[in-house]
Amino acid sequence: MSLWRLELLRLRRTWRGPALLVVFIFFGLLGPFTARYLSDIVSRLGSNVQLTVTAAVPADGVRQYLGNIMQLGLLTAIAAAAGAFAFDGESELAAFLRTRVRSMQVLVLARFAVWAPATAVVFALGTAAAWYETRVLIGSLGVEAMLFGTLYGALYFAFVISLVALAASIARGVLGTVVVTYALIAGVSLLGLVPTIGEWLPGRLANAMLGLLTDATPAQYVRSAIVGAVAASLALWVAGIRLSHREL
Amino acid sequence: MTVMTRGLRKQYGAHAALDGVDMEVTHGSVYGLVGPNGSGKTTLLSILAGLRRPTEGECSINVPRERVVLAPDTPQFEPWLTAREVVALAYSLVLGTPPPERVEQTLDEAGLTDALDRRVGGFSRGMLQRLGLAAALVADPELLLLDEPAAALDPMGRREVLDLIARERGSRTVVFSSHILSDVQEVCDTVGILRNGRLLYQGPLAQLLTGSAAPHYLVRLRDRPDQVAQVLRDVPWVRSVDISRGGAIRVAVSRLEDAECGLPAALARANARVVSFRPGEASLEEVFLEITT
Repeated sequence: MSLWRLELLRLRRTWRGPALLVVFIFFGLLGPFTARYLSDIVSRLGSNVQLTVTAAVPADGVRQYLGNIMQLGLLTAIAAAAGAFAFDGESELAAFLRTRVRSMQVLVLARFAVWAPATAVVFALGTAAAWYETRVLIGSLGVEAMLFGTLYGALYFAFVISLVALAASIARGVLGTVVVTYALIAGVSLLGLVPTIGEWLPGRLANAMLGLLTDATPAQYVRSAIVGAVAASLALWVAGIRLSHREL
Repeated sequence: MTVMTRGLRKQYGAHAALDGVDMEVTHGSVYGLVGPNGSGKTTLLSILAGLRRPTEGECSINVPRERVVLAPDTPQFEPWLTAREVVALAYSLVLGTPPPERVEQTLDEAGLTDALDRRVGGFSRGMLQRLGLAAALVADPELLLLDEPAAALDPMGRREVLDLIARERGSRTVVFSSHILSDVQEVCDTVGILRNGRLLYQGPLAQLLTGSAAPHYLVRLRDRPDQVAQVLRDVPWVRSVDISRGGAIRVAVSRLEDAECGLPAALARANARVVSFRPGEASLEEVFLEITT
């Protein structure tokens, strides 16, 4: 029973794994469906409001999917990962781990090593569902754009998981960790208001798939991917140091 | 010396949870840390375990950090793990992959044989405490810190845990905090009395019990306790003689040395039929109340 196996069991035996899977695949299927049938759905609601909707194009399916997944999917991923990283929330549980692991860095890295791939995998599965349904209902999507978009999206989720680790070293409980993670994401987004900096921020990776489907090239997101990887490493390192210095 | 602290102080705002604690725990001993609620026992154990840092003072633990284990009074584990998995995890975090028989043997010793593959979420507090002990012992620590290890157990469970702790004497160092003084008296060879963050007494339990009480001897006679008591009252170094309901005589003396030399002769002069005699000891509870009030 190693630390990474402990996290795999947490994924499998608690609500976290199933919730991630259900939410991402659900929105993967829902996105293209709503993009294709939005006008029909509105008219069947019996509303008197006249809604003019242009015919859906394949990118609309992905737009709907990303719109949902970067809100509710992100919230689910953050809440699920916070339960793993906020181990100091229960001091007796924390005492069990802290008196046995060699260092806090080991503990943080083991959790990141499971949770970042886990969120990347469910994001890829959700994307596959959205891709398939978009193809069936609306039309084909560019293969290169979808593959690079999935890769960049997965990198964004890994970056967010590193922020969860950092947040857990600032707050103690699960709720506090979720709130601080959103504050960190908001802080990074605020930096994006500066145009020259915005081009470099990992937040761009969240919607890279949509950009790639319209007019962007994969190379345009490399800078953000590198900054995201460096920032994630830094966040994990700082989290380890902060947790080492924290008293129980 | 396995544990040595010098001038250990822990401050929480204006409140000193520990105030100049000089603690010494010898290798292989069972050290009982007693004190009323809020006296600083848990804080002291947390510092020894490396979970908190002292505000001032030195804390020297002469065993590798990974060989120190703390079992808290209300252990918590991931509720979706089984007892077997918790103990295997406790072992593997320190020593690598555990031999399956080692995990089962430890759980058996902790009285959890029937709950090996049950998830911890359904455990009672007593079972969690047993599991906490199993998780603490499985990796064979050199220093075992136990915070109220029997507080939640029924009388049978408490007996098993006390026997288990007593068996550890000599093979590892145990620091054991409790407010159940009879437990400490039963299993510990050294005791530290903590109150308001100060270590009021530290030393061998036997010395505390005999040294703190007014010196006296307990004499059991076959018959005639009244006549023998009358003779003893005339001995110059005897301060008082009381006869208990069972016929035993409590002889309070000026100094134990006088009784050691003169009591056999005094009993012989009284033609006493002696069954036994021994120096009297106070109970830890009496001494504790005397020191802390």
